[in-house]
Amino acid sequence: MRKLKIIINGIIRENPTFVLVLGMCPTLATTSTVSSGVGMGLAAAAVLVGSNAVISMIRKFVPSQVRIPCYIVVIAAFVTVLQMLMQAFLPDLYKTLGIFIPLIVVNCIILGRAEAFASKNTVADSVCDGIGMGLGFTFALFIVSLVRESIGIFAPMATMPPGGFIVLGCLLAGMNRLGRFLAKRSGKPEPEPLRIDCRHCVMGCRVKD
Amino acid sequence: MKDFSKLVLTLTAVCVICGAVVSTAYMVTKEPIRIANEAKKRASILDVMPEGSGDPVTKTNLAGRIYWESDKGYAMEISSNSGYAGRIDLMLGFTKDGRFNKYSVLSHSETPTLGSHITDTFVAHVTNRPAASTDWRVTKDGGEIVPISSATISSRAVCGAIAEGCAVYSDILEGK
Repeated sequence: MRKLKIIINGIIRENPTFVLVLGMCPTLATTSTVSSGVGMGLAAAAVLVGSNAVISMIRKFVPSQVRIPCYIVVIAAFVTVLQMLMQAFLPDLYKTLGIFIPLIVVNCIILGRAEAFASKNTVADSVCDGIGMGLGFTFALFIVSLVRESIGIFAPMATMPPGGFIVLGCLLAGMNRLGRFLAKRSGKPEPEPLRIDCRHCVMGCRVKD
Repeated sequence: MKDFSKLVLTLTAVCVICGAVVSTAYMVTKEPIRIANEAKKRASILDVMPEGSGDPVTKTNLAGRIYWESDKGYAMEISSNSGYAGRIDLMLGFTKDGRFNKYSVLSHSETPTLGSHITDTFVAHVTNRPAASTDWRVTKDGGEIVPISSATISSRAVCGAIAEGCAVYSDILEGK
């Protein structure tokens, strides 16, 4: 039950794109078509599950002063191995996703979850978090790319970089509006906007209040 | 000092282990990747050759350019650096009786839904034309080729590459 909650948390309540607003570079870069958006989402999800598991395994041996370089090395190794395996054994999939794979290393969501979740939780929970965040990211990319590609049929600007910013901005505003509307209808207080300071930051670095 | 050496040792250990994993994966996948890339290239050669071509043979002309010859036609790789978003790599196919057959795009980074149509709809604009007597320029520049609408630069780059390929093709036909 708890595991399911962690997974759903990543898809809705803490959706990496619409709520945490992490990983904007790949979001803007790959959502010009649905196929590349979903491809990027799934590739990032695969890396996220693996890197979360490994980082959770080594969390007790790694001193906190060197944790960031250690996590980055693990993530980069994971991505490189995934790229080579894909190129060798799934060449067709590699043809569509190939250019996105190296981008995953610098995806904030991967390091963000390593830091905020995997470094503090058990391996099983971290895998669930990876699945949830990965699916949440894929879902968000699917929505953004669906909107961009369908508008793009009439207005090609939507599939170009400026259109990406505009569509993403409108979607983020729409998601906030929807959240407020749902809260109002169920009689709960309006959700507080996420504050970007050390108490509210989801990156969860270990700075004491 | 003890703390410091612990930091160094941990980071070193993580790097060594990750390095070992990556190099193992490299050794395991090196051969399959080579085979997969070769199969991909072979598939694109067969794709652009006239239908029903037999096995292509790799050859080199006098200028040192590599091309492929089958019983029905020729294929060669040409790239253009004048795409809207940089380099475009193409595989061009020719028949044995002086016609440009078709091309396929090996890699490109043109704008999706605009310039990216060089991979699908634009192929029909240039396919099966006489290689030597066609004016391989877009209509805007006074040539014969109708460009993709709102992607003239991408179309122009592909046409330029085809014109370059046609020159190589006539060299091959003349035995140069």
